[in-house]
Amino acid sequence: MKFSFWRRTQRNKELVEEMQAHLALAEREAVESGQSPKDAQAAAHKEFGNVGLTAEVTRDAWGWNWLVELLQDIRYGVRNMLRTPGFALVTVLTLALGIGANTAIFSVVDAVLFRALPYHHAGRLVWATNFASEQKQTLVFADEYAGWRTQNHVFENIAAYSPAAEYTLTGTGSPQRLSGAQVTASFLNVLGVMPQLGRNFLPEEDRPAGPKAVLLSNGVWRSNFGADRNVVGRVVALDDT
Amino acid sequence: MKPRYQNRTEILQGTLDMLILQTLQWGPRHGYALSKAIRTNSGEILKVDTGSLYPALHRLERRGWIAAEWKASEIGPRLRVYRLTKSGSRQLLSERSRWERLTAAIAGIMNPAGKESAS
Repeated sequence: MKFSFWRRTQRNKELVEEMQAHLALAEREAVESGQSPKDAQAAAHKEFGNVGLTAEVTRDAWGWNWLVELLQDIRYGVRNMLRTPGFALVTVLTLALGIGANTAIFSVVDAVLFRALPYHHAGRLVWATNFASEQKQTLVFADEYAGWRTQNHVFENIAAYSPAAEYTLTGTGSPQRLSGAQVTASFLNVLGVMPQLGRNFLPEEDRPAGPKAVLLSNGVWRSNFGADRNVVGRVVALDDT
Repeated sequence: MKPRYQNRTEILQGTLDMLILQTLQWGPRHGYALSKAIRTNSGEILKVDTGSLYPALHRLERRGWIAAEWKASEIGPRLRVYRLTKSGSRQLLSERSRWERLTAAIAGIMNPAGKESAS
């Protein structure tokens, strides 16, 4: 296998060596004819002229061979791959899957480990849970959460949420399947964000059988409510399925 | 811009390749020896500028008329030694005949009497 680019840097080195040899020979001859080493060196350089310029015009003589050779290498590679398409396909798939898997894993690692959560004081956010070993899942009951809240003297604030679920929205054109989550009133406060429009949940909405309230995501507000600023206070019909 | 030696004649455009090929006919030589041989064989009249010599050597090598080989030397850096190839010998023949036609034509202009007797 040939690599034209590396060969060119190699040739550059050789060209410098070739010209240094020329200078060394001229210098030695001047010394032999009786000049002092210093004078001999000066004379050799004067006779030679501009070393950098000579190297440059010599490189011009190499022409665009390196590019031609690079194209030849590419053609050679493509021909070889076409000659053994099965092997080439397996190689390409192996590389593609390897690179793809690495990218996917790193995307997760990047999001989870390296990038901070997009909230104020993200370093102070903590996720706490029980683990039900029989069901093999994280689980916090509502009364447990109430206990955590009243007995809390560790955290500034606590919020809870139910896992994301699907809801059916009716009354805004055709029924829509939306994903949403039930959260406690303190949820946005804990994250340090506020609604762009309308208000945050009220404490009385946090009680069992209290009034129900919905906050719309920006996406739903735009796609289902036409980005209507008067949407605040409207009653929406959400069925939990 | 470049300093020139007053007492030396520049090598005629297009003849350096021929002079290199001709000089290599007597055996492989490195760049420095080549420039010295051309100067000495011309009776110290022709001086090969290194800025012309090395581009010419590399160009001739690319055309395949000469081939290069690295040889170790006692002065430190290795020496790049050039030798004439088979196609280089053929090229030398064609350049020589072109040169002879050219000099004859110039002689004919400079000496019209000679041209009349020749034709």
